[in-house]
Amino acid sequence: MTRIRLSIAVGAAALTAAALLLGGALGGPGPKAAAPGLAAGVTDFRSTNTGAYVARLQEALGQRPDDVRGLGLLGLAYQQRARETGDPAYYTKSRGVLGRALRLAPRDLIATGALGSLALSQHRFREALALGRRARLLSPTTARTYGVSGDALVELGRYREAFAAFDEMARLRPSLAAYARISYARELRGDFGGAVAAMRLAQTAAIGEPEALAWTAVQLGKLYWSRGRLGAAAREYRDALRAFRGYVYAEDALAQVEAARGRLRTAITLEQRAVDGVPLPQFVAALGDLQRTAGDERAARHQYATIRVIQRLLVANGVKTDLETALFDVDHTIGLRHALAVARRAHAERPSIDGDDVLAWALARNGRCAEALSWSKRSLRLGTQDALKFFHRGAIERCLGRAGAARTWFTRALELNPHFSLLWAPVARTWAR
Amino acid sequence: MRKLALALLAVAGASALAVGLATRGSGPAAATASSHREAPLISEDPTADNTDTYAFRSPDKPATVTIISNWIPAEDPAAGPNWYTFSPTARYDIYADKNGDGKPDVTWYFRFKTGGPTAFLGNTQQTYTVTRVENGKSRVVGSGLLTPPDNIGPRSTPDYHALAAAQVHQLDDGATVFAGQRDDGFFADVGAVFDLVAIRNGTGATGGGKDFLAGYAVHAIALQVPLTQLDNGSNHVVGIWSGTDRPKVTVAVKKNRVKKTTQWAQVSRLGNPLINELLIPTQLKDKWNASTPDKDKQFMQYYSNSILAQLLNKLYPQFGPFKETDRQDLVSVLGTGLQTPNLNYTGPTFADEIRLNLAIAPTAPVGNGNRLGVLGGDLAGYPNGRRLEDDVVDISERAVGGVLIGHSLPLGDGVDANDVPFMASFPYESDPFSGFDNTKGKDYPTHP
Amino acid sequence: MKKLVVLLLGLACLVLPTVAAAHPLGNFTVNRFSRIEVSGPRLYVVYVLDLAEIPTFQAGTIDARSYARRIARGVEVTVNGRPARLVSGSTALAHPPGAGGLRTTRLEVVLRGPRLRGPSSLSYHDANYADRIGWKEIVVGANAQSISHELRAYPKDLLQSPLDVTSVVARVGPVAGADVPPPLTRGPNLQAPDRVADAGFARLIGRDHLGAWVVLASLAAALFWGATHALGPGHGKTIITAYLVGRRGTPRHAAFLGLIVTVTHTIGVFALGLVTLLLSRFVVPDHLYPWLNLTSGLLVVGIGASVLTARWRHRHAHAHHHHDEHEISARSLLAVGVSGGLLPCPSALVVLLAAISLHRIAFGLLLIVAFSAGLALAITGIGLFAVLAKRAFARVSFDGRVIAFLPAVSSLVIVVVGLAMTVHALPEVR
Repeated sequence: MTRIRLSIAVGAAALTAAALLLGGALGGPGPKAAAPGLAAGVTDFRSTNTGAYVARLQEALGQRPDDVRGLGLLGLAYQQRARETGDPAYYTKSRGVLGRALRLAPRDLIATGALGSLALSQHRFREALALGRRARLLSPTTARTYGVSGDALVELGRYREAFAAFDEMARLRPSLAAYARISYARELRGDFGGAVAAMRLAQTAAIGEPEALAWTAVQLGKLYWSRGRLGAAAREYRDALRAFRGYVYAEDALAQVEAARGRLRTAITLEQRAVDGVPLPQFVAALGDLQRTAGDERAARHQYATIRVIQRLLVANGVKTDLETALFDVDHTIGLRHALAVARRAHAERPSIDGDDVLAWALARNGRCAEALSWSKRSLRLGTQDALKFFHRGAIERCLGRAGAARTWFTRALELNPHFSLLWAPVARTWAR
Repeated sequence: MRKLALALLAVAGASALAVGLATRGSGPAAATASSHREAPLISEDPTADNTDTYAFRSPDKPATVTIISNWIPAEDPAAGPNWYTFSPTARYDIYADKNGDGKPDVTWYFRFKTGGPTAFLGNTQQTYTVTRVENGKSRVVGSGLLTPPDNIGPRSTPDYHALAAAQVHQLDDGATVFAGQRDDGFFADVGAVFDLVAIRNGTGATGGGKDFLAGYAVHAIALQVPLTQLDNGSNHVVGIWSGTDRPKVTVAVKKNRVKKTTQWAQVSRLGNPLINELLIPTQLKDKWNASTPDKDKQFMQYYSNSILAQLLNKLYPQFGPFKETDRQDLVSVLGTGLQTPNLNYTGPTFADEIRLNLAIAPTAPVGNGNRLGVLGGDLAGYPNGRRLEDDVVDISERAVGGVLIGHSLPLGDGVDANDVPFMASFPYESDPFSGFDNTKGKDYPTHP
Repeated sequence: MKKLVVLLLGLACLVLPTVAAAHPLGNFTVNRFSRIEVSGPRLYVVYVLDLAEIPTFQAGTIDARSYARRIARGVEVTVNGRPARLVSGSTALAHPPGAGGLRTTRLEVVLRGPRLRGPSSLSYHDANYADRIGWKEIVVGANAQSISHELRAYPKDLLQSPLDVTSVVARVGPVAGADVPPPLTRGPNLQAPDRVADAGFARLIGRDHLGAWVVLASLAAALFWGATHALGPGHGKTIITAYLVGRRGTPRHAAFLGLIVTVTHTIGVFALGLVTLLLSRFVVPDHLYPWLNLTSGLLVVGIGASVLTARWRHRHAHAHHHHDEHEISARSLLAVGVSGGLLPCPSALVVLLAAISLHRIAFGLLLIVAFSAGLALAITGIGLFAVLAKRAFARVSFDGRVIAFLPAVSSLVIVVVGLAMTVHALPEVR
């Protein structure tokens, strides 16, 4: 009887495993023909005028609610709308239509990939990775799926695999999306020239698409900014604003340049506009720091309080960890012990070099510099030329009593970009002497 | 005994904790705006996207062949300040296959340069270089040529027709060339056609459709080539298609910087109209765009087992039955040329090309041929080559409906002609609407 | 039957989320609504401003009157081509609760416009908060329908983008009656309770917490269920063995046996759960679940059927088995205990799978522990009872018909539940 039970148990386990694999990865005959079910007469996504495109799709789907292709395209369009407007309601709508598409056609490539990019936007990197892999299984020759899994792998700190995914994406179909990722990979490896070249390629593949043009311009600007080239950076940010009026990322980045040039008033105006558009924690923090530097303590405190509010909302919305808010608390010496706990949790969610760096900094500010050192080394293991990470490293070396090494790191940071941080560049200057 | 029990309990508890921690990431999370690098993932590549390829003997110059290739679908003339241009880092290609093997025998490559990386300040005029490759040898046949600017409006680009006409150039190999913004000559009730092949009025042969592309523009390259350069002397059929390439990149920059020649990857190609949109499944679109016609046998099943025919059977059983599988007629008309009757057969190699029989003379001035081409008795029209006035949507619908296998139905989308008449002379595609005018999408009245 | 009820109760506890009341459009929207109407000879505009949590916080204390004046200035009106001025009148202000313990804002303002001399053409443009995202709606007419019920209930339609209407052109004219300003919302309705309740899709998307009472109730249910489950097939032999132990063994043996069974059982379910989780990294959970449900349904049917047939076949053969189990060493106890718990019971599997399907894996595992604890308590309890009352039990036969039927009935119930699960899972699987 025991043998029978054992064999039942083993059989059940094997059956379950087989069912899981089959159900998940394979299942069914050849590719489902979804091609003719196109809605609103456009074969692919167009982001010249996303609002109009969305309206057409909505109208077409109103008449034909089970058009899988239309639902998938609308899901993508909603995500693009969210990028353009910053309105998170579009993420909810995207998830809704994509969910419906997948219920109608569980192996639909567009909907699967689109859910992957949605998961990325919501910081569910493991889920995004699974979706990207599933999409890749559905079509190994579609480039976009490698972008989804590659992005997830980057945030999970698995860089070798991520770069391989980006290489494959660019091999299958060079495009704005591929070039932008190649550029990021090169930047992570410290190849400034290569990163700029790839981002310029991305720019020329973004012609006619306002948000994409603005995005690539801002990325180019940030590359220049990272090397202290303020003029070149400002030019790119202004181009971004010309391509896409009110692009908050350009306004925020331009505010940094203006602050570096000593024009605090302008910087505050720009940053305020960014905050009004999309109150990202890093924008609000930057605004607070600018106001404090300008001497307006009351306004700065109000911004810091707003970050508390945003943190509460994130928690209420189910986001328990956030790298940016952890960094804010650590930078502003607010509840350092709690901030360390948040940083640890955030790192578990996002074990990228940014996660390593924030954790290192949090540990250092809590006085645990020996532990911080190993994390800081991890954050620099790719050879990234990042002044802020250099500064953190220098501070850790200083904390460990290694003054010479510390000064080297501070100098390196300032040589890269003398204005790398409103809060910490002055500190670096002092400590570098 | 007790220790063992406690140990087991501890193990159970620890594993529960471990699993619990491991599952933290799978909890639901609401959307936050991006705080990590969020590169665009879902934008397409309009400036590299082929929309149409035309090939016909020029009615006003019958000793020449005109090849027109369009890019940038649904180009909004009122796109300012983000005006469209050719992409300065892409390579635009026109291919001609003279011996039916699916490989190009003559190739023209076009490279464009703009004033800045993008036309932010309305500076949409570009200079370009044309390189011709034949018999393994490549030479530059035109350089420093100008495109006209985009038609922005009466103040920025006054007297646009003259501006555009001034940019017709001669190449060193005897061809005439034009590159720049044109009115989109494609006409279709795209909403009805792609929306599950709906047919607006009856069988669609009585008008009543909406030309969704009216008012939109494209960027076109037009070549007028002497006939003798493309005539193979035996069956006089030449296969034409068009493509776009972008530079290859990898994360690791190759050390071999000495050569500095760009490695190209094909990102788009087009021979017969509507193939990628209607026949090729979603999961193979990138592969289709990257592959060359000589390898098209891998896609033959999608021509032979027509999804469209299945759809027609489902949606319009009253007009059916439509043959769904083993559509040799579609395979031949789209992939090898028609052998019986002998129209434009190039041989057994299955390759997606526009096949033009150079021995058949033009039958009408540009824009005046029978819109149904061969199906309307006009042998100078599609699928023998493709003229601007050929109603490829209607022809394709009827072909899928089975007109070549004895099942003739007057199917169509109800849009019979372009909203704007074509020009009688090169480059034939008419001037685009200006950004100022901004009217898009035109309704067509019904007719008996 | 009791088991089924407990099963359903347990599942119901898993399903019932509590609603987190976030602003349905997003935490940083500034939503605007205008109703253009005519009262007697005069033009009025009722303006509603709905600030989400972050703008409410940023605004600090809101002085309704100064906001009203600012709104009046931010609106551009022309009547018959000539600019007209709107003057702010009465206001109503409330702060409905939002997410995270924060407040939102609902401000209603009456704007008084010019007198109309006759039918006139009107153009209205709302330039307030031009650069802020949010719902922007304008209706013309005192009785005109508002899609959002004047910013009280934002529609959940997936095929509708948030309204973005900031300008309107209309023809208006004086109506019969006196010049009476339109009324504003008063009392509790100003708190817009329906908006909070109408979170709709947000609720489904999983912005839910498990309230503490829900957790406790579920744990208690699982405990109880585990205990009653001890009487079912699959552990019936263990009961008899416990009785046998009771004849020769000590309370310690009974307790130990119960513990072994439980721990093995728990580990078995955990192992399966881990496998599931691992596979969910490569296979999207949404696609796993239909297959998991189908498999578990089939498993349940199979096990129930096998036990049922075993019971049926051996219903007259009970007497023979008693002779085998005479030796009681630690090893034999261990073997019996492990074999008794090795096969994860279908019911526990059901709990786990249900938890997975609701994205509550950790919670599901907790329930398993509680379930196993209930199982342990029951087995140990019976064993102990048997040990302590061995004399009494020595004369009672466990071969009674009622007792014999009990496992059969339970296995039948299991089969039915399994069939139900299978049938439910089939349509989802493709």
